[in-house]
Amino acid sequence: MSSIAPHPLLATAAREIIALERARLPNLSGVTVLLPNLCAVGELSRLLREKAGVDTLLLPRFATLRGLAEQVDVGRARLPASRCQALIYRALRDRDWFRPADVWQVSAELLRLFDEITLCQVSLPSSYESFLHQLEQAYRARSGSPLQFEARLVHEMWHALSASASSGDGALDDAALYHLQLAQLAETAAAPLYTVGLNDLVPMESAFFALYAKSRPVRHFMDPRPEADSGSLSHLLSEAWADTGQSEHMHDRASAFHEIASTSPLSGQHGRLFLCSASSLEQEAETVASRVGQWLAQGKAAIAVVVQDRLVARRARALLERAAVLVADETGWTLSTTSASTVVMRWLDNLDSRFHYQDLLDLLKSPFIFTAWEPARRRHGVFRLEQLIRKHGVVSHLKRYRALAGEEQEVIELLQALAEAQKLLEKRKARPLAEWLQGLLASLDALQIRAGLQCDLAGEQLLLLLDRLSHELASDATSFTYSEWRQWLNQQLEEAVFRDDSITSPVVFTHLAACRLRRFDGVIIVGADANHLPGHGRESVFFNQAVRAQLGLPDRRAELEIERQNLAALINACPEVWVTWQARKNGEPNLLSPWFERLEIFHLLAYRESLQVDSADCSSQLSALSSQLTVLTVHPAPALPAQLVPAALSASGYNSLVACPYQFYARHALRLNELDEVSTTLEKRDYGNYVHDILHRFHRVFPVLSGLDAAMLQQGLQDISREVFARAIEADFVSHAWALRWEASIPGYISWQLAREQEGWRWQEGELARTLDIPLAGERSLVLRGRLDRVDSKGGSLAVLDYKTQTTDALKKKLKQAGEDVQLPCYALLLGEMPQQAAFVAVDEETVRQVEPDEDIAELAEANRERLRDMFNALYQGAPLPAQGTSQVCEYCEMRGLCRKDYWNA
Amino acid sequence: MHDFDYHTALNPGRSVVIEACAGSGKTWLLVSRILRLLLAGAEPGEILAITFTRKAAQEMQARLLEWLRLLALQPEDEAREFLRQRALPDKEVDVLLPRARNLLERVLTATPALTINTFHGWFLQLLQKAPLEGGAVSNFSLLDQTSALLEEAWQSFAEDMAVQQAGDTTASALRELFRDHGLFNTRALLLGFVAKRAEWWAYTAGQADPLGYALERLRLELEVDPARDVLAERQQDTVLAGWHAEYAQLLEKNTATDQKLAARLVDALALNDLAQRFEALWQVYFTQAGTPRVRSASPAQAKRLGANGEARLIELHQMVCSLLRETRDCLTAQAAYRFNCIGLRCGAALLDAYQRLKDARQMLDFTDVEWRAFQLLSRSDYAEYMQYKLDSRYSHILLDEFQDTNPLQWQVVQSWLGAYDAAGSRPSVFLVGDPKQSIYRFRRAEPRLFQIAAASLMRDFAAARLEQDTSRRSAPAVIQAVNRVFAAQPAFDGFRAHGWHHDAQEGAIVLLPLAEGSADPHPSPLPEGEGVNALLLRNPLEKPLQEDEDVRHDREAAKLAEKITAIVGHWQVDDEKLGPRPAAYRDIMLLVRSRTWLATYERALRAARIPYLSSRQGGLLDTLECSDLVALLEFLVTPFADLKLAQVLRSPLFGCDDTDLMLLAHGEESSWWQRLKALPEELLTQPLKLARERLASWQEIADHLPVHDLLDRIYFEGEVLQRYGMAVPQAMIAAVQANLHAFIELALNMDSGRYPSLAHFIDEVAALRRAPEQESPDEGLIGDGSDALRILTVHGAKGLEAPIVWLLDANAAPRNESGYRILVDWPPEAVAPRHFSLLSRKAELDRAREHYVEAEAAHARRENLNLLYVAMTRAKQALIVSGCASGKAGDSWYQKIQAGLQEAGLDFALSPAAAAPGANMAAERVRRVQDRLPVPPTGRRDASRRNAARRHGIQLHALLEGLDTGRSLAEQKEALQLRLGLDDPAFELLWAEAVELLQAPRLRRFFDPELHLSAYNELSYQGGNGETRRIDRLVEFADSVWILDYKTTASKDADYSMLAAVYRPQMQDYQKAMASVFPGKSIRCALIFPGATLIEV
Ligand code: SF4
Repeated sequence: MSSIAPHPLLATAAREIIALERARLPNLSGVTVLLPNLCAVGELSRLLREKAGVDTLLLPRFATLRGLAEQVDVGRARLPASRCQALIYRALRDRDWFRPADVWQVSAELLRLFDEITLCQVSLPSSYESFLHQLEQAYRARSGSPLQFEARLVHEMWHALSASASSGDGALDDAALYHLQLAQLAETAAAPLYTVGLNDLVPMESAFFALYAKSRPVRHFMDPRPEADSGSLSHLLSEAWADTGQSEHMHDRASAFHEIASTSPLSGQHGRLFLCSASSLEQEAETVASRVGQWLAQGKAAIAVVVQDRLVARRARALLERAAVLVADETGWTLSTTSASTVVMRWLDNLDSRFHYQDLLDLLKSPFIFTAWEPARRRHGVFRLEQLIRKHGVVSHLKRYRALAGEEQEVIELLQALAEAQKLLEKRKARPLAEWLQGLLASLDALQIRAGLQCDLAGEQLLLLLDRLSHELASDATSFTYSEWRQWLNQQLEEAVFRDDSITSPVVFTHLAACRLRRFDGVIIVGADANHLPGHGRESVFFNQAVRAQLGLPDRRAELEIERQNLAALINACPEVWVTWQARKNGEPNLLSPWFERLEIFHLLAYRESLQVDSADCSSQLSALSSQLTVLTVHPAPALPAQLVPAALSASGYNSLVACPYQFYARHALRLNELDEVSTTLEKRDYGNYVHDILHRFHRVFPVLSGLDAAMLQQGLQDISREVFARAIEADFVSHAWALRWEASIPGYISWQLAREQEGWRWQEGELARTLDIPLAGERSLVLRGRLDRVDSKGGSLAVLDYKTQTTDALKKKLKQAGEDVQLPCYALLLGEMPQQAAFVAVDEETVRQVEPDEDIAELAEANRERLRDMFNALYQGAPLPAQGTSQVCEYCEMRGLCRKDYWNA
Repeated sequence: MHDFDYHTALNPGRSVVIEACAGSGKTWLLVSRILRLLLAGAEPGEILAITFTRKAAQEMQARLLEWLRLLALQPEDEAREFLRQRALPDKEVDVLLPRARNLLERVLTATPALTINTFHGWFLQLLQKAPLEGGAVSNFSLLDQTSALLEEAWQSFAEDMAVQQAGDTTASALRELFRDHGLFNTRALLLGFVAKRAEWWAYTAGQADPLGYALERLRLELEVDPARDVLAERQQDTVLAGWHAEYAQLLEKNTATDQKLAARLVDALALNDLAQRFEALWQVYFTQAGTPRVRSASPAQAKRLGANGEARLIELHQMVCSLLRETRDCLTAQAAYRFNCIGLRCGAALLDAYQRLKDARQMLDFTDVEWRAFQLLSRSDYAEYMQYKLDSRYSHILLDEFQDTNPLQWQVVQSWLGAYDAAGSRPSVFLVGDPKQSIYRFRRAEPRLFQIAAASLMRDFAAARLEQDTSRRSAPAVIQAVNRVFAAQPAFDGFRAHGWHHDAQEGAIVLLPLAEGSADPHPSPLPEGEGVNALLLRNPLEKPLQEDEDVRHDREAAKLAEKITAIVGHWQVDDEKLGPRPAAYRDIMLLVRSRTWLATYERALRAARIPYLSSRQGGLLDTLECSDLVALLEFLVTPFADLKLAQVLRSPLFGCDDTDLMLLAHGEESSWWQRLKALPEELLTQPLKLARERLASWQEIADHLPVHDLLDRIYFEGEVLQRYGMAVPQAMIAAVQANLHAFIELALNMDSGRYPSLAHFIDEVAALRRAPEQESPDEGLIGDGSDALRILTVHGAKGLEAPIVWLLDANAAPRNESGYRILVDWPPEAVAPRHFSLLSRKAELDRAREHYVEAEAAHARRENLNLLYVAMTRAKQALIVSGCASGKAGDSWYQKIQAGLQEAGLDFALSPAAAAPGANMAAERVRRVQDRLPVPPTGRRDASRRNAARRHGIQLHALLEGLDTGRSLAEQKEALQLRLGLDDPAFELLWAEAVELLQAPRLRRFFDPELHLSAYNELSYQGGNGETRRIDRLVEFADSVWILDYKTTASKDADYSMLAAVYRPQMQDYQKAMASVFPGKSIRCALIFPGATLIEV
């Protein structure tokens, strides 16, 4: 570890502190050292003792300024941000300036602005007019109504908040409290104060140091001036990234630098910085992972991955974890992206959607729920419930699911618990935020979710957050509606960050700012493209950059400067830095970060030497497969063992065999089907079934129509239709469309039927289940079965009819080529005696028509029977069932994943 | 045509409008212009360039930086030449050279930065800065996929209707639509309405009752009185009744046909139902085709009727016909009006539901963004506000691909330009586009805007207007073909013959003969002659069904594969960098108008081992490999999904064959997964065994891992990339692997969304799969360097080029728009549409709206030509056209090309390549697979952190550290609780413990500041071994120093002295260290156990 040079700034600081505090040695506990973060404490301690030259050194107090201030008790209560926001929210809500959905957002924005105002010690004029005037000048514009509104909003709410805060219990918001704490710290200054590398002080903090310095010494240690060490790396960085406002041209700076340092302090034999482009996310992640791997193999013990692009980092992390390299991730995730929050939100979604089946199953499949149950028991319960839901197509409502459950104990218990929990979160009444949270927590208890969350890192933090909020808000009595509360909750989960700090690893994923003063042996900056570096920050909706600068609020330039300093300091302190980015993203060019672009050009100008390297070395060898794999690029044509040849077949099975034998194999030999889809709306298929049902019922009441009153018949058919459609319509308004569509065909149907009776045909029977034995070779036989929609008779002759809700044209097309649609011939065979007529009836059109095959039905039926017999004989003899891959058939085939048509080579 | 005026075009001081043909280097012009602006001293933040796609914007930005880099790095002479090429006057070149060389830095460091964006991107920027007044809060997320939400809106609309009272107008309107037009059409119509929401909003802007307003305008235009019962009027018209009677009498005397008509007339008059009666009458006077029956004079007829009778018959016929015609028109218009009443009402309600959903979720779609930007800027005080609210103050505006702009966007631009007047300044405007390449009418682009905008800029900005008709892309042969084909198309107005830049470049045009089907597609099943009863049916086990259309496309595809094999490695193409070289697969681009036959072409390519990349828009989830993975995930959440499991087994993940599947086909009532688990060992084949193990282990982790991490594990443990690499056809390997990566990236993206779960992911994927193609994820891109030909739709090829372009299926008939749709007439110069109505397929078209429909058809015809123009101009050197014979091709592209090329002496091939083709031009197997890193396991998870006792200890330490023992404890309690962030019960427990400790008499001297010299909490020291240690509390007395260590978490009934012994060595370390710090004092160490028990060690 100590083979690397110490962090330059820390070394300077340690040396000087010891020099100044020599009198106290070995006890520096009276001295305070402020740092940007506490990561550097270890190294600084070491350096201090080294410079002090003592055996044991009592260390100074190390702290961040915030941390130090927090220790100070100023005797005033704290007004948590959550309560400030609720106050602003209420004030805004009373004023009715925004749509309700936006009020939380605006109040959060205001809160942020007010914090900045306090921290930057901006004094808002007390009168609206002078504030407006100030803004006009800052904007360099005359005021119109939008500007007036902006001024008014900020001004009025600022004063409203101060008023309501001061009228209360004297509690102070965080920024104001910080202010007081700092003041008190300065007042009671007892020890010298040292700061190391604090480069992002706000005016309030600078003022504090000034005040402190009046009574006790304050020393700041900052990044060394680059010129101090001319020709050094930090000098190079500062020249490459010079503020262009007042400096000379890049060319001049570059050649001037070359004068000073004839070899580059950056690259070449120094190998300090590499720019490495990737052509895809995957490649970038691989580069990161393999670089980390190589470093680990070389024994590097402190590796930082600076995450500019979260997606790549996440991908890289997965690649590392595969190789059993755990990563300490300091970047964190917003709580809303964790699965712990998912279970809570999904629970609320269920309440909102009345337990829509998708929400419900998603909730129940979460590992966080019903944790007191045996996992297998819960899974079984959910599994059964899902089967029931799919089978019966129930879409929502606990009551309806309950009705399905029958005697299934697990399912009943699941549903009961949900019902109980629902009662705990009554949505109708408005109530304070804290009460809502309590209700939520209680319902989570009822679902045994809380216990589940407690075992999960993110879950634990989520619970802490909910507890803390409900505690903070306990004294806020404002009532909020359910939807206001949900929006609020969303925002809270969106803003809270979850970090998994349970991992200790030499590999750290972190932010640029968090790298300050830390020393790594290797750093990779991931996602260093123009979109991610410099970062965007979060822009306030108020004012613009120029105005912010005028008002004394931090502006973009200041942010950029800090970020640049951090970057320079990092590169300067780290022996090897890799910078990766995707040069193309989604097929579009993706630019390198302007900082590195400038660095690269500067370097080229000064040394004719590029910093870019090839990423090619990062992919590794293909490993051998753990087991052999057949090449799957041929048409499959399985042959069935005798016991898998179906012994019975329906007309649609026969159709499938004709269309594509492989499809037939999958459906009827393997008996694979798609799962029932739960559908909210009536589908075409259901419609067909309804129509069949209606006509069957109708003819059972009215076998013969001739001679009856037309209006009465129409009414009769309509009544039956309404009855059949009633349930569907109740469930879904859109089912009206189907019902009305059918009603439109009623007159057509009746006149067709009458015309048919004119020809002498009489309805004889409907919904006729029939089977037919077809003898096969070797004592075998095949049962053909089917349900005949309808049989008519005329004298001694019969007709089989099949109702269809397709168009006449579509039906004609079906019958165009003999043998391609076998339904009618099959029905003819099933009838037992050869019918005189077999026809489809297109009942779904205004004019109802019958469609018959061109061929003689008896002949057609016979040919089909023979073909079927021959084919089954062949199947028993091992004839293969090839996948035929006819486009029109494949288009509606669910077996594509089995026949693997897409991968066929020919 | 060769001397384009670059001086004017790039002159930074002038506004310019340029119409530039395909391949003429629009981007070059635009980026050069930006460069010249910067050279002339413009600040980067003053430049706003808008183009049509994000990709184009990115490319433009990349091009600019590339040039600036060149300028910075090139030798000076080359830099000078570079500037001269951009028409910088010679005298300025030297003066500006230093500035030019430093431009890169200026652009890179500019804040605000130079803006190159799309319209939408720029609008978003505006909205984020929109005035807060009026409640336009920037708090929205952008909804780039609308289909799922539209579906939801449809459902919520239906639910609203369901709860309405029976008499609700909208609900009954919807029922009426359902009844008369069916669900499918109704949905299409209403969703079509929603798609045209911007037009609707613009049309009804400012109206309190938009629906009423729109209907009233329509009523006036149709000139209908909806209340009028025209049939009843006719019925009561006694004069007309007289005419009918007289007409009937005359017919009676005429021919037999007429006598029949007379009878029909009489029957018709007897009908009671007015509508039926009208129809019946109509048929007496009019033909089937709807034209009046022909009645003319003839001598024979005159003889039958008498001269007067004949004249009267003709006269009556004309009078009645015109009356009936009038009635018919009136009815049609009434029906159209009625249709609009119900349609617009429901459309508006559906739109409302959709908008409400977005509102509730704080989302905006692109149309909202556009509309809001339009509204924002159409208020002049807001427009002015925006000018100063943005940090950038644009003084140069560049608009690219202007033909793709829609009227709303143009108006935003106009308002923006207008706002400069208030500020007393005026920007320069640069506009470039090509109306011939306008192919985005379906995205509401309006090509006519180009001329309007040009005129307005010439008028108000004194813009110069230039035309650039020289292609820098295509060889003379290609351009000649383009010139011939389009010169012959009168509808392609405004076409000027193109010139070319590369005079000497070789080119080829190949028009392949159309593929024919089998001679007799449907051989009669009945053989001639005797064997009449031998009906021969196809045996599907032996012979697949073949449709003629398939056969033709198969043949075209076969020809394609054959010819490509003949081209690659044999034809010579000009490479910009390398010069002439043999053609490779990547030099070829296949273009189709629609994707209908893509699978057929791909199959042929696979069979011929030709690597291809059909980066189908939206096709990712349809690929078999992604479908396999989705099936796997579905199986993991729903283990009884047998078909999914079977697919997973068959996929290369396990590579089971059908014999394996058949092993699992036995058994009743059990799921396949149960059967697989129960399969006896001796029956388990290798693949099944693998499946059983891996699936079980994945099932274990599926609950717990985020989807991306789960997939990553699956990819890794399942060796997914390797296995697919081995199992799929050679030609597909690169594409399959790219898709596998794209899929995991999709999961990565969705995972970082809000509230992820596996089930949710599956639902989302299903929704994406249902979504229209432009909304679902695209297939993965193959990394650079692989050699594959590309298959694209013409729309997708816009902006791309290739040395060899093949236009497939060119003889297909153009699709014509019909059916239910929205009729909008928005003259490009107008602020709002002039007409907005709904059109049904069923009803006849009323006369008042005929001209709109015709105008639309004309636009569609023109766009069809534009599409062909775009297709042909993609080719740099060779254009190959093929197609299938078809009865209904009519005016296909193929025929247009054929007609244009007649008698032209064309080259049919490029020269043979000099170099022999490489041994293996086929793509190598892509095997970049991340394998194990060469490192031992690294990092550890610290489980003890989650140990409750330990946590308690940490908290107690923190509490004791924070307590100021010099002050009243009670005063500090609340602050400390907040600082520790604990809830009441937990804190109370802690507090009690702390208080017990602090107030125990035995310990008092350690805590009461009066009783010791000084005390430190959590005192850190750095000892000799370089380790930092921390002492819980150190108390200094006059003669001694005490080191205290809290062990308050020890169990209450432990033997403390035993325990203390364990800590002795540690305490001795402390003691030793402190001895050097406090010389001369005795150092004492003690542990404090529960119950304020002090044990000295
Ligand atoms: S997808 Fe086509 S080839 Fe495959 S089983 Fe289905 S119908 Fe047969």
